[in-house]
Amino acid sequence: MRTHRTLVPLAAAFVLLSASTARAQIPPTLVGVSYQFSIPIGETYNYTPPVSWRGVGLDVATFIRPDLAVGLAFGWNVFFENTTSTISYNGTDITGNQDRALNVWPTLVNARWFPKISTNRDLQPYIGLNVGGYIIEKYIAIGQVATQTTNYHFGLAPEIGVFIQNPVGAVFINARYNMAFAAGGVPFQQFLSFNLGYAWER
Amino acid sequence: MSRVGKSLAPPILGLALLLAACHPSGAEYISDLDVVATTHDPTFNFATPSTYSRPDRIYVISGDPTTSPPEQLNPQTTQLILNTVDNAMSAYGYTKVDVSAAPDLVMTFSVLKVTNVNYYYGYWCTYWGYYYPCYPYYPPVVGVSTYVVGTLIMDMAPYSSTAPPGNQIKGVWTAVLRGIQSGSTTDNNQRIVNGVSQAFIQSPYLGHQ
Repeated sequence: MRTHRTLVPLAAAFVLLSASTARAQIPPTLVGVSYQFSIPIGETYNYTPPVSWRGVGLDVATFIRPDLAVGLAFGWNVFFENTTSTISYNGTDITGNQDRALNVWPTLVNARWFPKISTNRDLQPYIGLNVGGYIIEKYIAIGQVATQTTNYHFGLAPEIGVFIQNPVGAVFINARYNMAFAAGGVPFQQFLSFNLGYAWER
Repeated sequence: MSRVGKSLAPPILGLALLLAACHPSGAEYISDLDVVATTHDPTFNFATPSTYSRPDRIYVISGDPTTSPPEQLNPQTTQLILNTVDNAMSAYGYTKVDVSAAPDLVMTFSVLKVTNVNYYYGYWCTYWGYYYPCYPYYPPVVGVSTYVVGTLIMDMAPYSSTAPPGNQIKGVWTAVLRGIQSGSTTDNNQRIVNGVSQAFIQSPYLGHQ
C-alpha cells in the first residue's frame, strides 16, 4: 500500500512530463538541466575505462530564428577508475593501488538547428555544434601520494538530440561527442555523453 | 509553465550533484597504500652478468644515525626478503655466489623506518564564534595517532674488487617498496613478499634466460 502511494504520484508526474500537447513554437529562451552519463574514448578510456555515471549539465538557449538557437552549455562529468597496475614515470616503473579521476567541466557556446518536421513541433529533433573550453582536472593517487593537474583545453562537441514538449516544458535527450584537445601535457580527451534533461521557458 | 519547470530544476540538479563527486573513492585497506617502484640504468646490458652476491643481513635506518651498531631487521623478516630475492634472481637466470668469488653484480638492502605522529587539540566554539575566537578545552583534550612507514630499498651494482672513487659506485637497478606497518606480522610479511616479487616482475629486463 505504501508502495502504491509512492508509485502513483511518480507515474502521474512521468505522464505529465512526457505527455504531448499541441504547441505552435518552442519558447524563445530555454533553460535546461540534465543528468549525463558518458562513455570514455581514446586517451580518456586509457586513463579511466569505466563508463561515467556521474554527470550534470546546465544549458541556456535562445532562438534567433524559428529554426536556429544559440546558447551556452556547462557541465560536470566525473570519470573514475581504481586499479592496481604499473605505470612509468620519468624512467621509473611504479606499481600500486591507484585512484584515477578526471573531473571535466565543459564551458561551451553552441548553435543548434531545429529542422521543421511537423507543424506543432511536439517532437523536435535538432543537431548542434558546441565550441569552447573544457576545464579538466586530472588526479592520480598512488599509495600515500596524490597529484593533480588542472588545464583548460580548447574543445569541440557535435551534438544531436530531440525535444519532447509537454504542457510544462520539454524533456530533452541528446548525445554529445566531446573532444578536448591536448593541453598542459594532458593528451587529447574524448567522451560521448548521453544527456537526459528537462527544459523550461525562461 | 515556467514556474513548474523551475520547481523541478532544483531536485534534478541536486540529484545529479549527489551523483557527482570529485574523487569518488580512496584507500580501503592498509595494503592499498603499498607502492613498489623500480628504476634501472638503460645503458647497462643485463644480458652479460650471470652471478651475484648479497649480504645476509639488512640494516634499519631510523631516527638516530649515530646508533652503533646500527639496528638490524629481525632475522625472520630478513630471511623472508632474502629468500624471495634469491628465488626471483634464480628465475631470471642468476647464480648466487660468495662475494670472494668476484660476482658480476652485488646487491645491497636497507630499510628506512619513519614513525609519523599526528596530534590535534580540541576546541569549543559557540554561535558567537563568528564574532569571537574559539578556545581550547580546559583541561586540554589532545588526540594522538601514530603510524610507522617502512621502506625497503634494494640496490644492484656491478662488482668492483677495488674501492671505487669516493667510495661510490653507480647502481644499475634500484627497487623501493613503501608501505605502512600494520599490527599483523603475518600480514606485513605477506605484503613484503608480494612487494619484492612485484619489483622483479616489473623489471623483466633483468632476465636473460
